[in-house]
Amino acid sequence: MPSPAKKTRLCVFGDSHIGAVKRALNDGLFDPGTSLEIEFWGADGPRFRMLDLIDGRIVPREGIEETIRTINGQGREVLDPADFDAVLFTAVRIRAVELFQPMLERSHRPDGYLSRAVFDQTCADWLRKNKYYRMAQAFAETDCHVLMSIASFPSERMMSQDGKDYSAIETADPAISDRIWNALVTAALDDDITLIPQPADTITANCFSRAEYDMAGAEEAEDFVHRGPLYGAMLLAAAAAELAA
Amino acid sequence: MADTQNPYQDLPETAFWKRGVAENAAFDIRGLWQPKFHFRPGHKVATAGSCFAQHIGRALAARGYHWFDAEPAPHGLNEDSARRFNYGIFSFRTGNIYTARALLQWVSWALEMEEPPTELWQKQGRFYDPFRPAIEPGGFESADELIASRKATLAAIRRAINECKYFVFTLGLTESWRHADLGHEYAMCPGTLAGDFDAENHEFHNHKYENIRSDLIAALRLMRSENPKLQMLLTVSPVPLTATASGHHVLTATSHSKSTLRAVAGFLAAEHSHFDYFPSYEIITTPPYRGMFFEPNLRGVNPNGVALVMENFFYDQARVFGAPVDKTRTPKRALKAASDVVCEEEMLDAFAR
Repeated sequence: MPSPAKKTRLCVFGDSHIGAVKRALNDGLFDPGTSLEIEFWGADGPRFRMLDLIDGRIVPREGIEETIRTINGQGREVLDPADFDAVLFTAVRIRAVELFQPMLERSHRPDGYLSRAVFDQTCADWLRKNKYYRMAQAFAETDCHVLMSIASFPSERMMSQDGKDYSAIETADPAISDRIWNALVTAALDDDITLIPQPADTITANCFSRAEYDMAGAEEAEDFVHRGPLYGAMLLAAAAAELAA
Repeated sequence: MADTQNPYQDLPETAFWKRGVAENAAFDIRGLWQPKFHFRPGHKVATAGSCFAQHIGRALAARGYHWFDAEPAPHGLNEDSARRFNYGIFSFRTGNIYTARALLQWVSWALEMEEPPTELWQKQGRFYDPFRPAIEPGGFESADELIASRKATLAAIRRAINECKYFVFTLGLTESWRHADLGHEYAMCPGTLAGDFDAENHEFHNHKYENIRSDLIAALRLMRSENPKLQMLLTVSPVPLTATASGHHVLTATSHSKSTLRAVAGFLAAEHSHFDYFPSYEIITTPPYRGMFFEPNLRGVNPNGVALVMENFFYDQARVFGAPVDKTRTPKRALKAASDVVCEEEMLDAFAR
């Protein structure tokens, strides 16, 4: 009798954005089936900054152990890539809007043109300067399959509520956004990391997230940042597809 | 015998070599510059020219002055990458502008007085801009990309001309290479970094005093037609020639070039109200300094030399106009060490046998 296929052990690691993924599972919007075993690990808010890479493992500083325990629920005190087949770095303080907005705004300027080499290098440098990206790079040097989904764009509701002029971003050539994602994916691939772009269906006005993917109660809470379980489900589906490939 | 009166009696110490120079330690010689223009921290200052001009931009920024970067690196590009792609070296991505004629060309194109030539260089499937061949390591991927990038730089030059109060230009060379028929001047001899040398079409030209003078006057006139407030501060690069195609020894060719450039700069400062000259050249090269500011290759200027040059700049500004009072900008981190100056001309050394 053939033995059952081994499940892929996937850890969803990140900051408060992993909430969307957790809710997707809770709400039954994604079924891991028999192939995927999902665990969570991370911290929210300023506590996320209290994580360090030590000897190839992500280790919490004193004071946030309770948060780690609550999020993980499995008693895992440190995140060791050796314990998982794959780790999905989720958001991890890498905010897509911080690259996309200036690049899109620059595209309007007569002196803003960038050669492909500069464009691609800019995207790669931006990604690699982040401390948590460097953690992902360290994990990728092991046998662990590292995936990454950087923090989604802020909600489109922000455009009408914060009083700023986003016309330059809205009217920028959408091909530029595509180029940025391609450059990020390529740079990550060079580091053996599978970067999952924000799904195109969830994006509007080049670098905002459609309101339908906001988390519940976002408007009341004036939260433009967090996505809801629908988005979390899309992320998991994309990660699962990558792992199955 | 009765005392005779003469004009020298009432001159200050600085008018006499003995008291103004010989009796002073090199670092104590002061008052070399009587500035015409008052540089305030709030004034936007563009820099362009030969390798030495890079030091001026850095020093201004480090002191909290508004060195104007009209073509800044994109957000996200790190410092090393920015430098590799020649961002933040001069106020725009022209690379080194060694001659007055090259400056006039760039300004003419930027202000759309003339169209840039269509000539492009190719090497191993990549495209190089004949007027700034080192600007992208490895060249551009297509002619269209090269043209689009150059257009961005021309727009940046326009912006610098329109917004700046001062334009600091460091004169580097009199020797140049140009198209024999069409007249446009290249940044470097074709065939050195890229392109193919063609003796039929490419000719050596050693600019004469009169041409350099008229090119600088024409360049500033064009710039002031856009921005009547703009004024030009000239300096002469103390960096000797890497190589000469003049047929003379490189030492005497250097002396000839620098003397010519110095004479033009001095004339323009003396005769034209919108030009001034700052004596960085003298600080590095004249006897009191005993060549101490040259690197072992006797070309590069060491950080101590750059520091003394800029110390004199700010000292004489304060001496004449008073210490700066408007601290509108916080000092920026120094952009990069002085030893990291980008000098395209140096690659000619690779051809020395």
